[in-house]
Amino acid sequence: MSTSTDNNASITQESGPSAAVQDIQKKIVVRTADGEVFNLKEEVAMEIDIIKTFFQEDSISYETVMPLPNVEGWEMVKVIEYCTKHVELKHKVDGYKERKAFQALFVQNLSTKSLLALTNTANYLEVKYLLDFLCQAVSEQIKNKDVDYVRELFGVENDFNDEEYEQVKAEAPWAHENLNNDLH
Amino acid sequence: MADYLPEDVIVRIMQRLPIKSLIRFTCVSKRWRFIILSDPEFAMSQFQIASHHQTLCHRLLICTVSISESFNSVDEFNSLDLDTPPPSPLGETSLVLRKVRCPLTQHPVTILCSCNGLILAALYDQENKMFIWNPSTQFFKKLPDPADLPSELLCFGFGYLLATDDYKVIANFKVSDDYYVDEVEEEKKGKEMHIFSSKANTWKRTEAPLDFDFDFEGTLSNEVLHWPDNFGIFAFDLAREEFRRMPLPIPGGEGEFRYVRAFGDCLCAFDFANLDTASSIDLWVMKKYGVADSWTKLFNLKVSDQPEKIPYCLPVSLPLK
Repeated sequence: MSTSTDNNASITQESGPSAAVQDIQKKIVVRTADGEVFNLKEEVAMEIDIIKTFFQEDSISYETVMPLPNVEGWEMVKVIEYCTKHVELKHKVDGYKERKAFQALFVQNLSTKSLLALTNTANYLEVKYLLDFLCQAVSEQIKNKDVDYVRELFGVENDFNDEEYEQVKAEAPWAHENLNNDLH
Repeated sequence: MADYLPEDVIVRIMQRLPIKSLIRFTCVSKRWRFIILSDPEFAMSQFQIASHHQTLCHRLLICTVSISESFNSVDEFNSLDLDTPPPSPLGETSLVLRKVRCPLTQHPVTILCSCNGLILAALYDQENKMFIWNPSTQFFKKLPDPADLPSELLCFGFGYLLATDDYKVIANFKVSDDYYVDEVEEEKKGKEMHIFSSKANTWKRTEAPLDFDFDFEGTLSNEVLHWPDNFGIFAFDLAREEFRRMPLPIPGGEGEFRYVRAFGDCLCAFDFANLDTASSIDLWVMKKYGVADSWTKLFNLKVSDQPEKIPYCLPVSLPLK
């Protein structure tokens, strides 16, 4: 399956005087792991360092469709959403409140697992500010969880034996109290 | 993307966690324990991010000495949360002290000073050993010995340089009497400042002015350590690693400035000149660091009617939020 997803409406031709002021920004095309194709505005695409490096440093023609085999379609949608907003707010003097509101909505319906996958993607795509934001969001979600939850979430194996574990836990028993393991 | 996160991303997440969570997560695995407790880069970056987000909490470290069953002296460390409101005088709740484990088991451990949640401590036995210790995460580092087998620690200081992400320790040692050939050499050597850089992990030496003669902690403000005498302030710039003089509020030695302290970014000086006559202490603040004209008298503090008991009080400052 292959669908073409535009992130803005500038492709449609309009008749009348406004047509002269048509957005003629260049587009960059990427294809994600599930075969979805995305058309990105150049200024948004350049926020994503791995794409920027691919096209600019290696002087590859913009007609090439860049493959992103490690990225899922839904993740690309989210990344484009964040970078587009970031570019928009760059030119605003007082965008603090708007940014905070946007960030809250952005993570609202994401499960912790999805958040983790998106964090991984932001790291792979090399979008530093998105990576920092997502790391902060993950830390908020896990800060009151217990050790078992964290091991399961990150896929970390427990290499302490029972005795060792009791010993390290006993160093600071207060740190293991008042936790909240609600499923998120 | 794939389920597992590379370690550097996990570290980025860890850097944003509060201390309680970090300490709990030292039990996740041996690798996590190592990163959180033993990786000095992690300690530095975590602190910077927490400072930036203002998620640091303020605790007071209290050390006491008790006698164990085998009649050995044992140092005990407890910490007190300064952020929660104090218990009401009529209430039954007492202050909650949290026991803190110290990696040093020998005695006596002397807590010298602290900076950014790190403690500078010393152990005086046959040789002098100095340590940097983080009571929250148990990060612990023994400093290499300064060369020349120094003896008694006189003045000292501990500070952090943001630009180079470097912790510096400075110390001035009294050298034992039989060490030098002649008095001139002894005079000179006694005025050497030893400087330790955490980044370089070595000590170096620089000369101190001949009239620099202090045996207590320098006050840190604006990445400079300060010691007052009656004619001015000796300032040791941690970045430049050199001394300079700064003026006190009242020129000509008319005041009696025993202490300087840091409040926020400003340096404050306590003038005890009126203590005998008026039973009061004047508090001055240098509103613009380094600008002599900006010394402003904030208030005059009337003390009890027993001024002879005051001389040994030590002003303590708390970080401003």
